[in-house]
Amino acid sequence: MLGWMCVTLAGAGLVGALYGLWQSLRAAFGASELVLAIGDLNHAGRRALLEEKSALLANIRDLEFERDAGKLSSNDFGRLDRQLRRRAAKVLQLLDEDIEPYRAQAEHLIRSELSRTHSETPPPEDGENDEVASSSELRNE
Amino acid sequence: MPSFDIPFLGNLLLCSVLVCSAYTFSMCMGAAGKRPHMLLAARYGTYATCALVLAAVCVLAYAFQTHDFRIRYVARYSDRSMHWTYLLTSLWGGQDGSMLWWVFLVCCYTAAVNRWMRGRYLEFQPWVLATLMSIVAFFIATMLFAANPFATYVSAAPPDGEGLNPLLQNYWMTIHPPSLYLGFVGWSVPFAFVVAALATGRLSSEWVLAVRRWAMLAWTFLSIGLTLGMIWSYEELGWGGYWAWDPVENASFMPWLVGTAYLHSAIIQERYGMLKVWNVFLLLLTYFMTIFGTFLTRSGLISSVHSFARSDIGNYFVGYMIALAVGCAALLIWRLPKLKAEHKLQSLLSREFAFLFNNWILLFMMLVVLVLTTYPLATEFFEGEPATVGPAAYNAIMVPIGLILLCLMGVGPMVAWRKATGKNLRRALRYPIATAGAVGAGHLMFGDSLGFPALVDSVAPYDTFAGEVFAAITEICPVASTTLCAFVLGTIFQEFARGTLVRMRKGETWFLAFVTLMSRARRRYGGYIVHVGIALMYFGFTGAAYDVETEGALMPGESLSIEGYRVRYDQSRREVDRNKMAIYADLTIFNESSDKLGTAAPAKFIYHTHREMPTTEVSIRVGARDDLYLIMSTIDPASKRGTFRAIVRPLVVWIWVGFAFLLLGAAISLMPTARELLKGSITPGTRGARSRRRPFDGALDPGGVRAGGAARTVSAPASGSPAEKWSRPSTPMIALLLVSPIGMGPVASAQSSSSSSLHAGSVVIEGDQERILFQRTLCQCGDCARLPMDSCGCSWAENKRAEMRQRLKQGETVPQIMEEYRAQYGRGSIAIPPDSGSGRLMWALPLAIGTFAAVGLCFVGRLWRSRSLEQYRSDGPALEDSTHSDYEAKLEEELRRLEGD
Repeated sequence: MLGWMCVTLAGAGLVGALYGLWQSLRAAFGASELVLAIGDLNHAGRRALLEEKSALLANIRDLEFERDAGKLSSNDFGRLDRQLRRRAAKVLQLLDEDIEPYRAQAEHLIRSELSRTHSETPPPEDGENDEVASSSELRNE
Repeated sequence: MPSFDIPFLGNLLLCSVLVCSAYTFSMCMGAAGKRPHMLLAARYGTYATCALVLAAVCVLAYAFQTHDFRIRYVARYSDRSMHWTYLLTSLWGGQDGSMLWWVFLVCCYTAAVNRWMRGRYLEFQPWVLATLMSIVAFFIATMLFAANPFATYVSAAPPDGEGLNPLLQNYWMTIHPPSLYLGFVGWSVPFAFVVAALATGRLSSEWVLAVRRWAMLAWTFLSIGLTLGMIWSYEELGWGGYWAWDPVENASFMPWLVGTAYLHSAIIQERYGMLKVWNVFLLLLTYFMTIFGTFLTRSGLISSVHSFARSDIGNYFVGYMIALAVGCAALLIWRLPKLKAEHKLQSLLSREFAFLFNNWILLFMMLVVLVLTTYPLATEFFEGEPATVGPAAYNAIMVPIGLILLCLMGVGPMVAWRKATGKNLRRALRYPIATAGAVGAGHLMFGDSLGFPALVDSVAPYDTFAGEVFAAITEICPVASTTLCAFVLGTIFQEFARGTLVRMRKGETWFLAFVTLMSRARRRYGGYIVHVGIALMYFGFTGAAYDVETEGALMPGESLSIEGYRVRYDQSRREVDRNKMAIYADLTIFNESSDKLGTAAPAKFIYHTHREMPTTEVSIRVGARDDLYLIMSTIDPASKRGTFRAIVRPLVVWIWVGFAFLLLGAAISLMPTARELLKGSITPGTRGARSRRRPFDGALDPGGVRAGGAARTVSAPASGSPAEKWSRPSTPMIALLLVSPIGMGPVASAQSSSSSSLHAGSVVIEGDQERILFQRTLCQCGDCARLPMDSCGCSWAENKRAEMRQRLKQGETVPQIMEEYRAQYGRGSIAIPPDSGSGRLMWALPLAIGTFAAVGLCFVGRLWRSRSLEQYRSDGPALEDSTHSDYEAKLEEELRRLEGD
């Protein structure tokens, strides 16, 4: 019984290996469709800022907890808390600045798409106003 | 059964794995070289490699089940009478098969991490997979050239196999090596990530966050493996102990120590971006130590009851370790400029510095174990004669360091992050110190009357100042240990209480406050529970100072007494099954009032295939105060007269209770938050692509002091060398097993054919001086080089003991007799190297390095602190007032969201 199980599993392993190899070769030679949801590999800076933000938030909370638990004096807490909050605010600002180019790029793409659509179909009379409205809504979001 | 050419198929599969891993490696390199489409190929290639290894393992398992004795490995480690479960465990019963099993576990981890990385860490993926594939390729190549599990006999296959070593034919051996393997192999994943981080230059906290759970998982499995090894040793080997500082045990303990140091220091990098170089170094070192440990046990260079036979694979491992060391050092040096800390230490009185101090102690312990383990090799190489380092030498050094670590475990959580003040620290420590003081005072006052004296007798190992220091430390160890355990438990209780009170001030009930506290900071409070477990284990270790042993030759109906127990020998019986003959002795246990406490049935098993290796099956009665450990030494079949050995080992159960706490804490730390679970299920990149899953789918995720007690008469039955087994598992251990995740894999596959029965007989010890002397001298009969005289029962040892006893009565001291013994039989005959010449290096070298490191740590800490103050005085430009208030509001919003999670 166990022997048969071993044979079955070995067979499954072999089939799996062949399938994996086939798919791998297809991908290597460009026959497989490549799926990259957000294929931008240059997010290092932003990701580092996001990590720092998470760490700073946790540190601020921990500092408050340690003050409440009596491990930190009020003076030390005030000084350390100020330092952390100042840096956290700076990081939030940098994150906002960092996303600005992407927002502009998105707006540009939407504008191009809208203008392409307009060129295909006659625009309504207040079409331009709609486009501006869409753009400002996007910015607000 | 289908008929295959199994050896050919197995070899073909191994070659295929090598080719496939090399192909995958090249795809990974292509992907790392900015050809992203190759990453998909690499991911599929990884799965294919793993599937091939699975097939190879199944083929070997099939060969065992079908008794294909054409394969040498199958013939050597199985026979036709073996149960199918042991045929399965034979897979890792020997060197060659355990290597394949190792690769299989690496592949399990690799497939899991490949799946987990789907859509994450795209930049790291090629390097992570390439590193893991290189590990697979190394092991497969080593197997193919030096330890092939599919190698066949040149001549005709034997009709039956030699059978698995009887020591391995028990269920502990089905669990202990695999879990230890999972721990060893598990460190490959964090190692692969750190290599990826170094190769890509992405050295922020990203990789630390990525490996957090993988490192914790590997550490947990390593802890499980180590503790199961202790249980196996205690219950299976029949020598009455659980840790003997054997090279194989040390090989597992060293990566555990470094890994523990990493788990602590990684927290600092996560929070404050500090210790980047240190963390990289620790992870590289942890992986290196797993390979070094494997090399130690598999090369056969160091003699051990666990080690594999001397083989050629040592050369391959040496080559791999050199390549590893050079490669890692080059990467580290190349990336040093990118590994600068983002913040500096603000105060020496801070949690960060406490963690650094903790790291120092853990590495110091690792260094001591490393020096002592390799000391015989070094002396053989430099002086031509190997020295022997026994448990007594390890205990003399490791116990005090361990107590310092225990103390730090109590102080650490009390110190605030960034900067604590003396006043706050004093206030935080007053209750734990009071608790510890009360427990210590209680131990001093009432210990004697309870049978646990606070101070124990000790004899200096040398006639030198160092010997006196070691003896003094040994004497105070019990009271120091109980006091420090109380201190640690007190601090952790206070931490939980204070945290709960803080939350209760927000209007929560105590229960809700406690649960919320735990769930909000799983890692911190899980870590505290791990600390509780470690403190309880220390408490259990303390019991070793109070062991009591006795031995008696009894006729049926007669009894022997020990420490409030009376053990009556009722009868002996014999049972035979298809692969062994078992001889049991039925015993009844009574207390002082003659109330029956239970029965026991220690036994001897004689396997048909290994008649020369009868195994001893001990019987243990587990209690909260002590364990009664019963061993049947001999039974005379004619007169039914039996020789029994009874050991009372106090507090052992607390080691296993501590282990349960350790597991609980580790499980809490590993538990994902609800947000993480939810995030995993609706990752933006996978949400849209769910219908067409590919390996590449998804988006970038941003996110023994054995002294004291009365003089005893001791008998060593067939034990002495751990070559025996147990008869029945104790209930708590089964419970522990049920709560532990059972893995499958290295190190302690006992290949030694030593049999304690060869040295069976009675050992009589009269007094502490004798016991200490016999512990530190090794039998020189030529057949049991590593067997201490306090347990070897051969006639040579018996005569030698009588001679030593006589000399002690004539007034000679223990060091004098040891010195003469050494002069007569060489340095390898003493379990503690002398406190002179190169022998002094054994303790002086680690101490010097440790002291130097401690001084350096303080110096660097002060330097960092002064720079840090300068840095904070000029902490960059402040934001404009209006902008600042905007972001302050946004920050508050973020903090509220964090609290609401």
